[in-house]
Amino acid sequence: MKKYWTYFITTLKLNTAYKADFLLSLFIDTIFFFISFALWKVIYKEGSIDMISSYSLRDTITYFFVTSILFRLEVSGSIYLGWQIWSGYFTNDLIKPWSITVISILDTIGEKFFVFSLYIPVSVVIYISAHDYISLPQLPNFLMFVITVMLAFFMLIAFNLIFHAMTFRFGDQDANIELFNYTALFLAGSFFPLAFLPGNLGVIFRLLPFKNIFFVPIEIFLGKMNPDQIYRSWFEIIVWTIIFYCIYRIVYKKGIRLYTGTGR
Amino acid sequence: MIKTIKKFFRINNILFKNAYIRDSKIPGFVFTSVINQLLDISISLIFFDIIFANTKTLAGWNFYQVLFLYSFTKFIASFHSAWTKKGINSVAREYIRLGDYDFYATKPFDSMTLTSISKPRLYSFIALIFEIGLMIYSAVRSGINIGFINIFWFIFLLIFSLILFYFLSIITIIPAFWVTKLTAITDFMNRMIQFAKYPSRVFPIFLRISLSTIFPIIVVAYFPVETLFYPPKVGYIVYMVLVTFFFGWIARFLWRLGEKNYSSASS
Repeated sequence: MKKYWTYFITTLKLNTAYKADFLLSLFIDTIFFFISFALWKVIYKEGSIDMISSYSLRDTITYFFVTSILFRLEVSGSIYLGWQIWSGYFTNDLIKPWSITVISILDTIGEKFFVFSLYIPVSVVIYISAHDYISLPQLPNFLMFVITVMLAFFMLIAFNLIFHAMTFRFGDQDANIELFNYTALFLAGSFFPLAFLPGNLGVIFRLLPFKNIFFVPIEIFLGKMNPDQIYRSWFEIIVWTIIFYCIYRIVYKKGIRLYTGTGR
Repeated sequence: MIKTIKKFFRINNILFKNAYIRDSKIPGFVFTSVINQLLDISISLIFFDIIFANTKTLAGWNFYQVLFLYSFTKFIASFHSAWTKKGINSVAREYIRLGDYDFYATKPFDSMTLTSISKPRLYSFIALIFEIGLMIYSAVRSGINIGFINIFWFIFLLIFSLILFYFLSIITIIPAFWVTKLTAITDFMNRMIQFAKYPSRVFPIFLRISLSTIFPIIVVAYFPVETLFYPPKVGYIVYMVLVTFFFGWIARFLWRLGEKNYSSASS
């Protein structure tokens, strides 16, 4: 356990190495919120709308505010297993007395923890600049929101690991990882609330597990889900995480037999 | 001058040939990238559908005008992505940090141009076909009478838009000459171009002014598209030309300043 703790702390320190790069990325990340803020204000105003599918303007802006925070936990750029396999650096970890899966997850947690922590002051600035349009949740809702986000975070890691493990058999998976994550984030409701989708399209989106990454946590944040629905969502996320993880283990075990350690 | 242009096209031709050989070895990657572009367009269509299910106009523009603006912005971004984006990003990500910039700085050709065109991605040109198709479709469906004079000035401004976008992209990565690692900056233009996808009147006045003067990303798409749909404004055309030359000068000046700070692999 101690070796993993040391590994985790090292990952955290590694993230602080390039401060200018990091601070700049924080600033860049706020752009999406301010565009959405301006855009949806105009849509509600020009359309003379009070509500879009149970979302008031305040709910919608809050949705994008929380979205901007949840994007910090999006893991696709923070898992390096595929690159390590493809480049041959994987051998360095393979010969060490630790689990490849555990250190891959620790790498991701370390990076995301750091990014998320430093985004807190940025989100405070965003909140101050748009506080008239942002609702804050009640404490129980906030706690359930945090639990949901953490569960969804592990589900997203398990989902991503599958594509990284496919590198053993199919070579560089960067383009596929980007494609599947982009699709998953769209299906998750990261671009707009899934409640805005009309008819059958909305039903299809809600059947998929990806809604738990953005839409469900934000619905909890906004107090739009009752405890029964929330517990059902937690159960669903855990089941999907187990399914994704099992698929990853199968792909990994079959794939590692093909690994030659030579890289590309 | 003509000699330099000829030289540019000769070098570019070689780099395009190399890129073609490289891309033809990774058909899977090329296919996935094209699918990614199509997916992006599909997602945006759904997004605009949702917007216009709730309002008839967006800042005075109808669905097809906004769709045209979106596809035009995508066109600018894809053109840049196909020809210069990877080269420019490589300057910020690796050339300076690893000392690879030596290779470009020591060649008898302008280093800013040479690094920019060093890594073309020809498959990104495929995306232009979809974007041009979407532009033609939305222009026809917009219900606005577009005259020859509009098309002429639109194409004129389109050329300047491409050049201005290139200069803005260059300016954003120049800090990499002073900072050890600056990969985040390569994402800056991706985010900033989001401002250009919507009619400028969506944004508050101070933002509109800032994004038309200090960092004129709105000018890149909004001016040509408005010129296509509405009577051309001389002010827009003159401003576009002036701002392109001004930012071209700024880009070159800052690049030279940055180059002086470059000290090979140790920088």
